[in-house]
Amino acid sequence: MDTDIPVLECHQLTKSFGAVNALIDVDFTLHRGEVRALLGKNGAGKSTLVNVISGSIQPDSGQLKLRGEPVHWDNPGAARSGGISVVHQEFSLVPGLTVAENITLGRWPARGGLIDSRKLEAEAQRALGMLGEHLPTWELVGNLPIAQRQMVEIAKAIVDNPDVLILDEPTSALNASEVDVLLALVRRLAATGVAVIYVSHRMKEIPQVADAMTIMRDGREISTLGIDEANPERVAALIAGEVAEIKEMKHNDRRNDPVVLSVQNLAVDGVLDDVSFDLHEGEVLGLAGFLGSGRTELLEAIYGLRHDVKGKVLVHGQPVSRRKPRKMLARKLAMISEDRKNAGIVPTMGVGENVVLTARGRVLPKFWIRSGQEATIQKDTIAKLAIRTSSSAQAIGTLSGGNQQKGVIGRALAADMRVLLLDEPTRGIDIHAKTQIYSLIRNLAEDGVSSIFVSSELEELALVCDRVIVLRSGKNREELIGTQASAERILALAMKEVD
Amino acid sequence: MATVDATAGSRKAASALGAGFQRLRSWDGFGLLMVFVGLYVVLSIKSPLFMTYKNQLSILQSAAYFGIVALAMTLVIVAGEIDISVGSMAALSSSLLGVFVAKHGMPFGLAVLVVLVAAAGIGAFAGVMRAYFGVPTFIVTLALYLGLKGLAQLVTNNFPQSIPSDDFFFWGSGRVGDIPVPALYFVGMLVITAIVVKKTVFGRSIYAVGGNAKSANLSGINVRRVKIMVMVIAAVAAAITGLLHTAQLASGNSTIAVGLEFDAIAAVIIGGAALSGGKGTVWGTVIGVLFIAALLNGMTLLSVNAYAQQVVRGAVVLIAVMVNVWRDRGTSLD
Repeated sequence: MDTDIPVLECHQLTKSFGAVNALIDVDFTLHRGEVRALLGKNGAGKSTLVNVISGSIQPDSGQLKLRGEPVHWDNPGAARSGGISVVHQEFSLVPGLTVAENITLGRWPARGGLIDSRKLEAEAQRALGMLGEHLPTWELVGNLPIAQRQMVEIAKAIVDNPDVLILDEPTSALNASEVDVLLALVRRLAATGVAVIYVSHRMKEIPQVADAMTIMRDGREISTLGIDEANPERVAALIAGEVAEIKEMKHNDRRNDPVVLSVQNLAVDGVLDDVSFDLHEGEVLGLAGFLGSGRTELLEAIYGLRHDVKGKVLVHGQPVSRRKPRKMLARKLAMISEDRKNAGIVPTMGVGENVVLTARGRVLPKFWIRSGQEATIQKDTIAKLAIRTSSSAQAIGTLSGGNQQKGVIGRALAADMRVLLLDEPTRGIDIHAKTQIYSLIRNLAEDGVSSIFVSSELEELALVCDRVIVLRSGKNREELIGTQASAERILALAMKEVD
Repeated sequence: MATVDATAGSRKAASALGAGFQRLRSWDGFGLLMVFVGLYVVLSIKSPLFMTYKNQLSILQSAAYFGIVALAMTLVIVAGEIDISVGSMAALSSSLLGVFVAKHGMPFGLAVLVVLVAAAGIGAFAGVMRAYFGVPTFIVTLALYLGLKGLAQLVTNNFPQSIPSDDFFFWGSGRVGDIPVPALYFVGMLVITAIVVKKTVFGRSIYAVGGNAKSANLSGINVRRVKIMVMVIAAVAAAITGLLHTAQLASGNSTIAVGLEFDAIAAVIIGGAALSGGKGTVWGTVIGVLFIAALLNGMTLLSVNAYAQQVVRGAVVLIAVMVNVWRDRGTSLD
């Protein structure tokens, strides 16, 4: 095989979702045996690029070449048989099947309509051999620890000898020693000629595994650097880029105002390790940290969605034990989940009804529906949050993401909540809706409503928050007040590996 | 001038009627209503007996027996649950009443009250199994389907328990004017269910729980209580149907209401509810109930073979679900 021809070439790939440009003229070239790190913030276009290369998404324009030949994938299956394999961040294994059955899933060798278990076993052993791993092939995957499941996941991806292997945040669920094993394994694979695209947030592991890195921002390929040219400051600056052109927002130092929510020594085994902080009246407190740093788990622990929580939560100075959502709502504290679709909206119901769900039985009567009163609250909330809908009866599931999100936030406001736990409230919504949500949170703060604002987008933390806490491997590590909390500063602290 | 006014007035009336018709057409159940009307037209043409006053009352009476349960089942299905034990629940309530009155000489009023309370307790048990122990209601009520039937046969030794009382017969099977009493219960249940669904926080919460239980919980709705309540309502409705059958037969009987769960669930499904929850209407169910009752009545009038009738019933449910799925595909929520 001619090694001068790149194994994968992307020319001018462009893709937009509605008004959002997810990819803009992206060029990307990969050679045999190369490990390329792909970096960028959430929403920078990494996932879209990966999805286009692996056939989950069709580009609007641009070209894809594999071994010099133009290719077009209609679906992930086509890309897979064409030689491109992906290991997604979420596990795709069937817990009730064995390791060998999982590795060969969908390609079980058969003889006369029956599964040829010897051949199946041999295939699985071969894939594991390429990884240099020994796993019990007869064991049910459900019985394996996470790190070994990850190995099975990779073995499954390489069983039919792909040219390109894409690993999406492969270490996000692994501990330090498991990470080392995985990185060594990726190097071994590359040595056999497989080209690897390695998507990760973890700056420390990239020099250990990658030959070069490509940095993306706002849908564009910003820079591709050899690993020797990449020092951490330069990379952080390239990732963060210019701060979005949103006008500066007014911040307040609320640290002398009354404490509305106090979290003391909160811990959840394996996720949170002794987190403490106070939230003051009218304060917007940012929670920064990468995926897996325990941000969502922290909010869930406060709101009573987890039952394995140690430590104390005080609302207005009163400890709240045996927490559950209804108990927290009674204390005027509401959580808005990052999972808008599955834990936010009730898609089949109208916007108006979605908005009053929490208000019913709280600011509205407990038993009877008061249609007039409800209609007023619905109308006011829809107007206040500028939710774009044909009527309050339109099913919320048919609205855009931004308007759905406003509806979910509106639900807390309609019930007159005073403390909001906002988990990634701007995920997956367009820039216009984002700025509206920022202003909303700031205006609420002026009215004395306190918020905890969790976000992976550091600029928005810097923009909206009075104070930012950086969470790293389950602990609150640093606190940045007001203008100290610049995006660069937060990023540097969130990525810090040694304490 | 007067003629102009009259024309304008009638035009106004016509346009109001037109607007009303437009609203009716945009209603989700419009297609179902048209199919229902179509069925009536066809049966009227095929059988001269079908459209008679007497026959229509008889349709109403048979509709009432499973209609009461179908209305309760609507709440259960909208909440994303199912109750397949209603037939056995009806048989048990009939048997218990028979035993209480015939064997132990308990006063009627008290016996009826005890039966209804027992039914509520059994419904609550099913709800608790679902809400607190996470056992799917399909499994809980499958167990109850067998268990309650067995209990009914145990307490009666599988013999009818004769209850001689004209009063009781009237309350369960008499007529007010020409209207059969069960039909009045059905209408009463309809009014109550419609009010619960439209006008109470509990009723709206059923839709929220069925539409997205996780969101409902985060929004502070007591999801467990809603699930338990709908199971209680279904069990009590089944018990009431059992009592009506008891009155009609003048005996407590463990063999009644076979297949009640099928007709009740079928009516709800034909009415446009989704088994996945969050979707379904009281009016859809009412049409579903009348549709099934008219279809069974019509087939009997046309002397369709009883076994063939079963095939038709099965086919109707299958077609109804296919139509629902097909209709939702165009407007699928994402």
